[in-house]
Amino acid sequence: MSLRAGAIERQGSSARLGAIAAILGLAFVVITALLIGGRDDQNSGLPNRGVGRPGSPLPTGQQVSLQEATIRSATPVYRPNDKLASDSLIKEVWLRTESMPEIFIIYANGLHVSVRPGSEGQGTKEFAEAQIADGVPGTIERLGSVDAFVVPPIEGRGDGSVRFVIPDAIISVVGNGSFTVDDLLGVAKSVLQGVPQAQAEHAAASADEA
Amino acid sequence: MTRSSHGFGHGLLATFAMTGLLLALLPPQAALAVTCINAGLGVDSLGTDQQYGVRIGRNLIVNPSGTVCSVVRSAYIVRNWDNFVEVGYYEDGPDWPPDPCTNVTTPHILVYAIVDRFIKCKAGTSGLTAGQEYSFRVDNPDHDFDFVHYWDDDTTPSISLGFYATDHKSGFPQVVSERATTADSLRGEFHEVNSLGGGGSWNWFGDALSFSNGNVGNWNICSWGPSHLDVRLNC
Repeated sequence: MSLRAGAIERQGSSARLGAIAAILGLAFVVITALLIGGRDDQNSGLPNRGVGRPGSPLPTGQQVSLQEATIRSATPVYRPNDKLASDSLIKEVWLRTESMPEIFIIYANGLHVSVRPGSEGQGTKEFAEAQIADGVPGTIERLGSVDAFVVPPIEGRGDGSVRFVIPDAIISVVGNGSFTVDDLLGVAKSVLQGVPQAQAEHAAASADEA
Repeated sequence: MTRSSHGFGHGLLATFAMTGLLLALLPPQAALAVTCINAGLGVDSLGTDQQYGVRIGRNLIVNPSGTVCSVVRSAYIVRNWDNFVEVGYYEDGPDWPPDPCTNVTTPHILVYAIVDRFIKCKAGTSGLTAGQEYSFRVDNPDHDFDFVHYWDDDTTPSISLGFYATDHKSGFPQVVSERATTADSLRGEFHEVNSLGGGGSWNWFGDALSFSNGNVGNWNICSWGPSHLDVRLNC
């Protein structure tokens, strides 16, 4: 802008300079007003009464690399390998190892996968019955060799989820409202398919630590 | 002053004149329109020990003088972003989108839980009076998966608001003053804040982790001593 103004000044056209300054000034004001108006428009998903975002997605947890999670977690890092959620699409990995151990993986497209020891929660049937009694419109579906509680995305009410239990872990795949039930089931199935690999990784990491 | 600077000055004058004209022509809400965000901007105090309940003995109902989006002053037990229980009060403004709790434009009791990002909340809860203090708690003394919500108009929250089934027995206690736009206030005052330990006793959970979410401007969460948290512009 200054170079342009200088060229105009050399031409001795102060009136033109003034007109350009006026136009630029007006443009600045309009753009600023638009930015102010839209500055909070940065989220999608549920109307969130509670903060629900307590500093980290996992209170008292730490953000770690996938490799560090594999080494430090008491539970294998069960995770999907699907077109919607794979290691290359991971945005953040959070780990809590002390009380209430949990791994919380955030994918770039907004999917979440959480993994907890089996002792931390209920079996699928008990959990599903309690949630349905509370009004959650979920159903129990067969997911490979296990049952899963599947809740569809409902605008303004829920983002969609698939929760299932394997012998040593409770796993939830949670959407952000933009994924279909089939998408979420596909991701959950790939978690199940990756169980042997995750267990092998965990065993290797434990052996290295020892 | 050179001739060219006269021209630049005229340009500035023209800018101000056109700006004034623009602002005069635009309705006020068009120029300063606020979009409510879904995740709150807030100040929080988080306990670092696993607990089975949280309560606020005296939660002052501040009058935010015309809420634009939504304000919440509450306590909760949180496992992760996708799973928590919450109790306190809320008030919505005209810009807040419809939601399952029903929109209220005066302070009302908030009874809320999220389970794998499915919202559970009670509609039609009691209205509260600005300037008064009320007590709230949510707890799971039986160490199962059901958290019961309570409130009262004195310091002992004993009126049950029912329970929600969750996917956790315990979590981390947190007190929060929250808004959904910087146009709303974050003022809050919480006395007799305690959490329920595994042994069944209520104790101050400490303020080891106080922090801000998003743009909170100059608002701070101030700890005035055991169990007293205050959200104000200057501590």
